[in-house]
Amino acid sequence: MLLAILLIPCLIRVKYGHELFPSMMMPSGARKVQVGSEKFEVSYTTPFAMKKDGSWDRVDIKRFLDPIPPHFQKYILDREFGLKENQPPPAFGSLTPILVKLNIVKSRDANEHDRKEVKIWLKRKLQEQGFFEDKFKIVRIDEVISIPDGNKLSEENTDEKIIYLD
Amino acid sequence: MRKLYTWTNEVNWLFWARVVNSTNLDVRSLSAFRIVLGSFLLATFIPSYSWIAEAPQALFNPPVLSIANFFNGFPSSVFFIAIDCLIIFSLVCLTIGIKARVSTLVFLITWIIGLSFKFSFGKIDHSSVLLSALLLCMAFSGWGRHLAILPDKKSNLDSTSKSLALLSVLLCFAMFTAGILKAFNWLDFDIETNGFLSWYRNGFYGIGRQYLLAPYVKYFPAVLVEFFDYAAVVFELSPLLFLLHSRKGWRLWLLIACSFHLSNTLMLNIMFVLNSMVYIVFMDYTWLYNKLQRLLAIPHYKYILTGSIVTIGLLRILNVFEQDVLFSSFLFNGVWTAKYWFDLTIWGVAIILIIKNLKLQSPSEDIQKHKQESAMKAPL
Repeated sequence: MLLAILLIPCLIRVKYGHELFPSMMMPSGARKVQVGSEKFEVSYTTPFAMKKDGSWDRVDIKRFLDPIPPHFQKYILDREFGLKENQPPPAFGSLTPILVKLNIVKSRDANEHDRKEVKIWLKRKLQEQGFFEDKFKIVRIDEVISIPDGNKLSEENTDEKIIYLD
Repeated sequence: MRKLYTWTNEVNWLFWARVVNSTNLDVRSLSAFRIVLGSFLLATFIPSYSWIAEAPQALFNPPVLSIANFFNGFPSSVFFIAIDCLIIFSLVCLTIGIKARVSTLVFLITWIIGLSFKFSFGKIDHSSVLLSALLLCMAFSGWGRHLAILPDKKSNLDSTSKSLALLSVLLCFAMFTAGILKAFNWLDFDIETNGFLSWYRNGFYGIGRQYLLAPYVKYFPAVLVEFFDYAAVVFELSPLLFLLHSRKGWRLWLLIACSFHLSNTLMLNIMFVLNSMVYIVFMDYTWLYNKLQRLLAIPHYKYILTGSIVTIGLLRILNVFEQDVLFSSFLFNGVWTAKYWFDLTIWGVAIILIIKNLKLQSPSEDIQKHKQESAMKAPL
């Protein structure tokens, strides 16, 4: 019985990539890097907004998300603050139809009311930092940092999407 | 078939007998630990969730397999304020011993509900896993029977030995889930690739974890960091062997665990200080029980100690209504270097405690020692 309680969440994570909460699982973080590499590559998404002079500048993510902890940045930006449409529900292979029927797997697309609410919230956040409030963009940045001095060797915007708030 | 059933039963019995032998303690030790844990959590870690109500509903994206998934959005601020207040109230009750079994369960359940909504921003984090296991097991350990204002009555639900045994097995399992994938990837006998450095570079260059010994790690030789990979895998996959070996073996693994976390704080600046509580619960606190019992027998001290804990609780509740307790640290709010030093101190204390306990060999020895101490102090 105990073994089943412990193993089922593990099997779900291994098979479908979804985690059950609460469960007795710890993160493994089993990735590796080249020891002799002289550069460290990092990719992240971050919001940019337009300043009053028309130029785009990086938004202070901590203030932008406040009171949400900044470590949720990636996940919130990936969903474009819930404004992304037609997102596929989480997949559980052949179990998906059953879980949909049981209302466990469901679409989390924001309705019109929630979209309006988040747009007002985002406008206020942009205004607080002195940006134009009608739009902002989510930019994916690939950075290369030199090892061991930590200097930035290059920074490239590899993808961007403008989010309109009007 | 019958033979197989008998054999399975026997193996199962032997397994748990060995685990109990390695972990069993006097319930009074756990009662003293309850006060230590409650005070520690009240002073340094109070989860707060009332800020979630300020977030727009469009951000609600709960993990599919969580309590929050049964909801259609973030509940109102009243809900989260109630959660925050219940967490603090139950933690105060747990610490001073007002029906500690129920208080522990209320704390655990409200905390998990709060976390489910927090993780609805898209990510489950795992710093709560071991502490929640500790609380679940301790709720049925009988730790509310002593050193308590309103002690729990003896109940069939309570078993000190079973709760400690279960906690140790859960701990082993959690470590296994962390270690098994590392074993496949990190045990590669290739000095050119490294897992430890992956954590290090991501933290140092990506997140800015550049405190304590972190700036010096980049000068470590490749052989040393390769050794770190193997050591991490062996550490995470071996606790069950230590647990089944002996009481001393189990405590030795706990010592290694604390040293592992200490070095993680020093080199990677990764803080998991809550886990320290899960490791040190297996130590003998009957000495503390005796001290607290004598102290609390004096009314003035009893009122002062209880009053202090209640006052901290009230301050915490005040903070809920001011809504500025996002990062939950009472002592070092936002001061990261101080937090690191605090963590190092806690790990240091845990290591000293475990080293002192390593000398105690058998399960009965702790209990025997306590009985002897009690007998000697009885005439006083």
